[in-house]
Amino acid sequence: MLKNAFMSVICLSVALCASTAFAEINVSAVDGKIEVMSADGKVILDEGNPTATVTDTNGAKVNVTYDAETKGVTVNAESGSSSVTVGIAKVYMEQGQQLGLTVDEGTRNLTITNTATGGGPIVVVFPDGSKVSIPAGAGISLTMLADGNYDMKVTSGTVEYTDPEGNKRSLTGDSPVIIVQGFTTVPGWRTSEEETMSPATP
Amino acid sequence: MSKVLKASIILIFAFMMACTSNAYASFNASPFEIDLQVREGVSYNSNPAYDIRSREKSSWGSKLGETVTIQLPFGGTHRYTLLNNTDWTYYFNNNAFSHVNSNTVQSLDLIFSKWSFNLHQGFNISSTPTTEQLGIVESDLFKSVSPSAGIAATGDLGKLTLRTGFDYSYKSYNQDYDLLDQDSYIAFADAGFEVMPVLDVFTRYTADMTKRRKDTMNDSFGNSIIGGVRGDITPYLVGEVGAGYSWYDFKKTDTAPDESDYSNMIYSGSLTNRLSRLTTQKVTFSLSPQQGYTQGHDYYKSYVTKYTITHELNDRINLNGIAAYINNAEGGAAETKEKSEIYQIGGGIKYFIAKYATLGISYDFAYKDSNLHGKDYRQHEAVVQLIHNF
Repeated sequence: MLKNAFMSVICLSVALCASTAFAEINVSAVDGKIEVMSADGKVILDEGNPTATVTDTNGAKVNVTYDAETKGVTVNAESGSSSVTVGIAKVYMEQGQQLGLTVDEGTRNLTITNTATGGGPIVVVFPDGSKVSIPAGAGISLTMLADGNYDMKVTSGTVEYTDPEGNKRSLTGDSPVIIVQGFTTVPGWRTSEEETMSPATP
Repeated sequence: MSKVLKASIILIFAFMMACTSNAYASFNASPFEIDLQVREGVSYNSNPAYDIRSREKSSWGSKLGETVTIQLPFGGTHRYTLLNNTDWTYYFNNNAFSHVNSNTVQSLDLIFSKWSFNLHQGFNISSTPTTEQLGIVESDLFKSVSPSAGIAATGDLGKLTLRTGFDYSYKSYNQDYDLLDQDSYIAFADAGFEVMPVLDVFTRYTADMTKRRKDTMNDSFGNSIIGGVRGDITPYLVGEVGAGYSWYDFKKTDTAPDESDYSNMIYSGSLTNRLSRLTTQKVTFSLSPQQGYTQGHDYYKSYVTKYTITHELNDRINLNGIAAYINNAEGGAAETKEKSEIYQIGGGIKYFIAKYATLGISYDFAYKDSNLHGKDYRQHEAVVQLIHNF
């Protein structure tokens, strides 16, 4: 009996592991075209080749569509979970969720919109550990500033922002922009000086 | 009234404020955009004075703080921002070590299609408890006042990104630390070249001139050059890593005869690993020279590394942890030089009570080991805090 129970646990664990479907893609703008990188390789999207499908071995499937007229990108998580990295933003999506992106060269400007008609929020995580939860119909824009950090502004709807310290708040288009750290750690004149515990203090 | 009772009253009052905070949620001040955060809490600190083990005195205390942001957007993409962040810590027992830190910054961000510019001006008031160092230092606090101003510009030239900036700050310290009084001028130029989408190789040059206002301390001119990579380093790792070289010339005078110069490798990095939508970990590290703070010590070499991790347990609860290590070694001509190591470890929980209120509980432990007698310390601090965002 014990042996049967043990085998059942093993089979269930294998089944659960095998059912974890997760696809990871990276979207960027290169020379006026959209480049989609994944474990499958690289696909270039343009007016003549506007769609790409990325699948992973466990069955996750992500569809990426480029609209040459609006220069917008739509990402649809057809099955399984997925993450989409674009610039400083890493967007986590569940099955059935859909997002709209606009990306410029060098990712100085970026918009992310949850274009699904229902379902749960998509979650965007930034390099400083802060995150924003975007429900259906809502969106944000990111603009790089002179110091390499980014302005995050709500473009539509209401989003929930969690700062690097774990404090949550709701943001709308009337809220002040939030400064999100970019890839570089240049001058921190925007925030308080951190105590450095130098020898001059005890 | 006992300290625990005082702390309990403050916490109860703060909780009542949290429950009624919806009454203060609306700020209709168009065209200005206003954001306000208020923090109140109680703390227990085993050694607020950073004293050696035999002289430690613990204290309960209260903490109050606010962050206010006022923004004025104009011209579609540009913005003026005024930000103030102030924190006050009051100790019930050793209230001589109560202190205030306040930072005010106003900045103008001008954003065009290929170029961005920033002008900023700030005023910082800083104070932190300081040990009496066995009679050498009489003050209870290490205090500074520092106005500053600067500019920065970034140009997006296709695959090439250019960035430059200049900052000036005037720093003034209380009497026991007035050897640190200085005017600081820093300029930098940074060039990044895209080798892959969202991955640049970069090089940065920094010039750093410091004029000390006390004639027993040396003026200096420093150069640093660093190169590395920045962006999406791997699918799971983003940030910046660089290494380079730094050299500082210290100017010898009749009253400041020490002419020890500094030259050494430098490196710095900030790497973030976004494990999942729930968990993020980050590490930062740097090795760099800092201005010395006593006569005969032109500089000290400082190595700092810090690790943080955050995890969202559910919709309402966030966990976080921190570990840090600092290694400082004084340089210069003086025979006695301090070498110290500081260790820090801590963690906390944030519980999202309501739309505008978060309850935070945290614990931190810090330990300093110094080769100089009287400069070791260990400190435990626990804080319970209510944070309101409006």
